[in-house]
Amino acid sequence: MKQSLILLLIFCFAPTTHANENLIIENVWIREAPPMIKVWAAYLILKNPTDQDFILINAKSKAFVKIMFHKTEVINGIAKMQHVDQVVIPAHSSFKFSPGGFHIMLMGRKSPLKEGDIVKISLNFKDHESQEVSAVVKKTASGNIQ
Amino acid sequence: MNPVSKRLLFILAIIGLTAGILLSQLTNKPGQIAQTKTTIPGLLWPNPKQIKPFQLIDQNGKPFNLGNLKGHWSLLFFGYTHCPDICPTTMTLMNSVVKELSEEKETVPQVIFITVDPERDTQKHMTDYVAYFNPTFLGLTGTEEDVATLTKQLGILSMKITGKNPANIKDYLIDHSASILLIGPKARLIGIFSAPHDKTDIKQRYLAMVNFITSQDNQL
Repeated sequence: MKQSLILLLIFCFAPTTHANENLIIENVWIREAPPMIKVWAAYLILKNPTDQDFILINAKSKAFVKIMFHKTEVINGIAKMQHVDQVVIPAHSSFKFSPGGFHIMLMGRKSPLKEGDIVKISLNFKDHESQEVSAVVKKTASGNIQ
Repeated sequence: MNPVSKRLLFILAIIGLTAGILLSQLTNKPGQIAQTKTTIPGLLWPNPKQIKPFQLIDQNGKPFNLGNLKGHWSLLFFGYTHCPDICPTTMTLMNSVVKELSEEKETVPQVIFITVDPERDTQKHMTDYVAYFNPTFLGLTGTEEDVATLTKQLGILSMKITGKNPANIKDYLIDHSASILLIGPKARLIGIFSAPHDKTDIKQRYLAMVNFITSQDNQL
């Protein structure tokens, strides 16, 4: 909330080029997986208050070998996981990575992780600066199972 | 008898026969009437499928077969341990469901996770995986043929999707049925909970199905 207010103030006094405008990234978390599992998933919400579309092209983290974007779709009762090359966050809109929908697939966990750990993930955008986020390892999204 | 009378008689006979069939269906099948009394989504009644023999092993290496389903209510979920999203989401949800049922002193089902990836999901792998979610959960594996014996009769589908690096034969995903199945104490497939899953919805429908089937069985 505080962060949102600060960002709002920045936007109010930003120069007309909007050089400082950026995405607001919230609820960044990684689902804790059983210890021997090397493929984990991260979730977050990307809010785009700017006048420009943002295109998320890839992500990197020192804690994992490789990161991809995937979408889980249930079609005729079958859960299908589909690779997504990039994710567009349209201007004045938001995009949600959430369980059962889009997820950030973290592959090849390098060292053990447990609930409460923080993992830094760098999100890279087309034509915009990268943003680093801190993901908290949790068993479930706060307050609900989904 | 002239041709017109003959035709009229024939039409009357057809009408009579159709009415007779309809009437007998309405009156002679108690199951049919019972079905009209329940509107539980996902309930497979009046013809629940009887499960045929199968042979798998649980995460402790013990055989698990048809006999282990009898006398229990069971929730079955088919998935694989390398699945990062829908499988852990569903396992966590089932853990919450049984926790609430236990706290409310309701009939608690045995929860059974069955791999559709026996190649990677060895018994040892299943031990750690299942215990992470709930030490009372069961995790079943076996040969591909043994798993197929069960999945085929339950209508569970799975398809291996090879990764971008074909040289790495262990790099693949599996598309698979996301439904949770309810098996009754007579080893019959009683209900199907389709994805997306909601904890409260599953709990309520599970209880409704248990109550309905118990009352049906008591009438016999």
